[in-house]
Amino acid sequence: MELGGVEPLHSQTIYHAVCHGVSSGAPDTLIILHPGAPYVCIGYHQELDKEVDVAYCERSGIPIYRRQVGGGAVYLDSDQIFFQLVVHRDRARGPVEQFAARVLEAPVRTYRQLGIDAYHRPVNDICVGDRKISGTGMARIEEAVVLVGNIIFDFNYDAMVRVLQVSSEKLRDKVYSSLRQYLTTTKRELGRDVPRDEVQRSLVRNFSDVLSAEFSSGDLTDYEVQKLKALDRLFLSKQWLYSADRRSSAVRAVKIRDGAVVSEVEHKSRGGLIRMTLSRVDGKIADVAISGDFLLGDHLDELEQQLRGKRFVEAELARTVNSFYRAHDVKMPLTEPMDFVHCILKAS
Amino acid sequence: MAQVEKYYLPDDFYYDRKEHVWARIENGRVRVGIDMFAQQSAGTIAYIKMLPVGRTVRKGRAFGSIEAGKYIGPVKSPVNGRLAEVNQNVLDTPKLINDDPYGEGWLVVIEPSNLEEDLTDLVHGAEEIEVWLEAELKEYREKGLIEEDD
Repeated sequence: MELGGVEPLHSQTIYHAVCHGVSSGAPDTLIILHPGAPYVCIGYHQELDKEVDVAYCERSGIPIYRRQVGGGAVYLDSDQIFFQLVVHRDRARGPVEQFAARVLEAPVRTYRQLGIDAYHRPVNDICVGDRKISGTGMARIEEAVVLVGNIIFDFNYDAMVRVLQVSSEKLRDKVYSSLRQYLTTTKRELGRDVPRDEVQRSLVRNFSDVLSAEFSSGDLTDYEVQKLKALDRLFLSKQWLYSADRRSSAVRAVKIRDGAVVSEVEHKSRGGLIRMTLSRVDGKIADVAISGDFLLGDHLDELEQQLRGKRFVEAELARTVNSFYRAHDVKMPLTEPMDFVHCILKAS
Repeated sequence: MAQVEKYYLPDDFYYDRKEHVWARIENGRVRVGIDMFAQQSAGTIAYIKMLPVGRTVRKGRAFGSIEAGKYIGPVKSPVNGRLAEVNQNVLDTPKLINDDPYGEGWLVVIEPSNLEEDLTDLVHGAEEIEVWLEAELKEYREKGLIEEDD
């Protein structure tokens, strides 16, 4: 089903309805569409108030929907194309990672046909170098498995960080810079716009090839239309949107891509509070900003610098902080080197 | 303990063939979890949600969901009954399901309402378990759903 621009709500509820249809005997279905207007979408297990600045979204007229798929809060708009593949679970059993690898070969080929050297980064990101260029997610809904993802033509980084609920502006700034660094688009990679219909045709062809399937155009079945109406009501209900399932965590973290997370962590030493905004990329500290109830003056920048590139390994971090304490003859008996180490490890 | 390739399944447990959920009978109550094949297929489990104690559960219907990577899937009850216990440790540390699927990684305990009948379609005993899982792995390989060497 190539549906073009649809209402934001339907860009989510249609594939949920098709999952019900496929569970009841409808054929496996590939849906390609894009939302006609911006919205925010949160993961199935996320707690809305903790992830999204709901008041800001309401003031700005940006709707928020909860999908029945994993992952985090995302800002979505018409600068993307969504692909949504729904198959009966009998054709998607076994390891999730292997299914994702097989299916995501299709959008990877599309990116490559555009001249972008994309690759599948397990479990389910598509990247160019160390930058993510497509976010995807999977779910089993009834007897169907759905894999959803997007081709990102352009991305409104400002809007994305603005809709997130963050514990400080420092964290917001760090999320913004990490998004700029680790999330890219076709426009950034190619320096030009790409024709939407060309991408659409390429996706259909590539999904057909990797699945060894012949697609024929189709519409929602009567059953799926009925389900869609019910799902629209469900997705618009406060009960569904606010259902708080994900357990709260003391760590505030925003995932940029698989392996890249920005977090804000705190640790209470006997001398007072230590706060850090940390970027963790592929197991290492990519960046860190430290603040708190201690006096290190100009040396703080140096400690931050020395921690960059270090792995989240207690012994390695302890060596670095101990060496810093010795080099500057730091006298903070109530805030010991291991207090900094324990704070960092909270983000690991 | 039954073993098929790299998968271990205690042979005194009962298994739902399609859902890879296990059930262990304990003094008339049923402890439930997911088996090694299911947890390895999902990957490292990051979040889990379950219905609260006291809720009625129906055989074949979801009593919870798991999230691993960006995958979400339901966990379905192998028997009818009422939730008597929910494993708080696994809610706090979902990876217990990966680390110890038949021990610390249990999910719920159910007070069954129709146990004898509900057990009839579940797989039980070493021989039956091995026949079931071998056939299933063979089918998945033939369909190209799992790699030859996996």
